[in-house]
Amino acid sequence: MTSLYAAVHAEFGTWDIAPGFTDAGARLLNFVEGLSNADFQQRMTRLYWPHSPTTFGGGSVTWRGFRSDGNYLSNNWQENPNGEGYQATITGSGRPDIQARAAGLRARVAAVNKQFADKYAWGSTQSGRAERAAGDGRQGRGGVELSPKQGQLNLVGVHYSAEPREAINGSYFGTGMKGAEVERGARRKDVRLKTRVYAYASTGSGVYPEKYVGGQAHVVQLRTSTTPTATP
Amino acid sequence: MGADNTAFETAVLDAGFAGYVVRTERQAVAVVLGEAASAVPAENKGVNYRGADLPATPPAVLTEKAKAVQAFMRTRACRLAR
Repeated sequence: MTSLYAAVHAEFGTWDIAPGFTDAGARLLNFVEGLSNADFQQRMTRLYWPHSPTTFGGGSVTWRGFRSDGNYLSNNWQENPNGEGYQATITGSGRPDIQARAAGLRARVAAVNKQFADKYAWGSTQSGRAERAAGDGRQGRGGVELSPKQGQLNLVGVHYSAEPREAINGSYFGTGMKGAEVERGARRKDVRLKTRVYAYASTGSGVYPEKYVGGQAHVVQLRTSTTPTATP
Repeated sequence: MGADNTAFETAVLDAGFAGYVVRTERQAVAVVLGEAASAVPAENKGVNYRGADLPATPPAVLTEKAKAVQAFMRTRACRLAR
């Protein structure tokens, strides 16, 4: 297998086409930008036999090409530590039943985590951190101040996301979005601006969410509190 | 929501605000920025909720600092227009 991997690298100039073990053998998948599947399979067929093992797990070896009509589903685990990339893909697939099952499972896991965290004082779970952050002195519990002076704003908004949440974490903003907004986010040099939450507010006839914002609605209270967020 | 208004948003935060509200033809959009946006408590309403029961957003009351931010943007717009 090492010999095959080295030969694939020599042929295609990339380590991205790695043999992956399966129950019955191994598979090689093409996700290389600019390499067509037809070219990939043709060159692999020519390459495979001289470098394939003579036996695999005690059985004979055969070689077949296959293809998938789908795209490679990925998630950037540094930017989306909770698998938000996968969630966005599921949301766009038109299978809310799958997402509902995942959301239910996540809620049960979160409940178990919280139970044990409370019992054994393990420290923060993510939802626990969010609740504490929302309740500290800079942000009155249940409200976010938009003005350094009292009485300037008392607004109820609606935030949409791909899944139900107890608190909205603006550092995940842009997850699942494509195009101009993602490019704008990458260009923002003021790091404070990368953390943001949007909420629609009614002016008398409800709200009209854009189609990419997610299906789960959350009511958020945005109001002035007694302590400013920053000293001007 | 789609405009690149980085300078404005930085000015909002520098003036001590945690965000701003934009009124459109049929609704308003609140934008919470920075630390204040790291954990906004939320009540899930499920799918198909469109806020029909929500109170109408009151008209904005501009503080002196809000006026200063607006003035900053007007100045910037003038500079860009030259």
